[in-house]
Amino acid sequence: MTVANAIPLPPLLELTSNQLQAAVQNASEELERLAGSVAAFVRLGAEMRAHPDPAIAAHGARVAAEAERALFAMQFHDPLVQRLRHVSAALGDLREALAAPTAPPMNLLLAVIRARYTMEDERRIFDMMLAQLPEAERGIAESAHDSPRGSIELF
Amino acid sequence: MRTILTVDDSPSMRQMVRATLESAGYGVVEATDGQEALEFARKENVDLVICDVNMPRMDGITLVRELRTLKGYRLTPLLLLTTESSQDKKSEGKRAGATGWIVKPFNPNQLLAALDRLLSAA
Repeated sequence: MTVANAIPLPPLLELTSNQLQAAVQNASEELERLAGSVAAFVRLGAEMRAHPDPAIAAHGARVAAEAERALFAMQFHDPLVQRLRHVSAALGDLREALAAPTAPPMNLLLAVIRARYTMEDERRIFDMMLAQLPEAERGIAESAHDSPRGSIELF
Repeated sequence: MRTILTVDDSPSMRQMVRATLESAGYGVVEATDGQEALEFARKENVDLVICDVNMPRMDGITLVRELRTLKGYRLTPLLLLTTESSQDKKSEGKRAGATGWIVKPFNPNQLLAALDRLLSAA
């Protein structure tokens, strides 16, 4: 028996997946409070900016500009949570594949994992790590047409 | 006052979008997923909708498709605000009837400028 056969991988994968989900949940609750504070600064900045006293309005413009920068930066959380959920789901896929009486074809498993990705970064890392696979080569070509983060396109 | 419906399953994203819109004088109503938004839209009209794509119960692209079947939403600007960056998904959103595609993180000033353009033209 090899070491790999002796290690109970399915429950370990489930444990890791559950730990990731718990971390996402905890971080989301904290971030909700933080987002509330930043949102309050955005509103305060807007109110001050509209004040008839030019000195207060000037301070308001600075508060608003800083709050908007914070609001932009804080959105890191949304893609982070999505990535962690995709990792957690991939661990679940692996656990199921390992627990199945007959393992599914590797390319099918990889296609399922890659199909969950919603961000260019995710696909790029996947494709770089698995560059020797034909599925991955196709993925690189698709990623070249992705929209950049922060872009706004009106149809 | 112009009213905007924002749809996102992330409470923090909803707060940030709401703060941005309210700071510019817009009224905001929120829904936590596509299904809730559609139920609201069947009863009330708004001036513009900003919705996430990946949500439980009903995703944003399905919501756009459903909204376009409602009489009060045939011409309403519908923006998809998402981490989803693939061309395929964007094309799917456009075919469903979306007015625009915004990839997170959104820049508050750029978002407000886009809304100004859309609502001035409406």
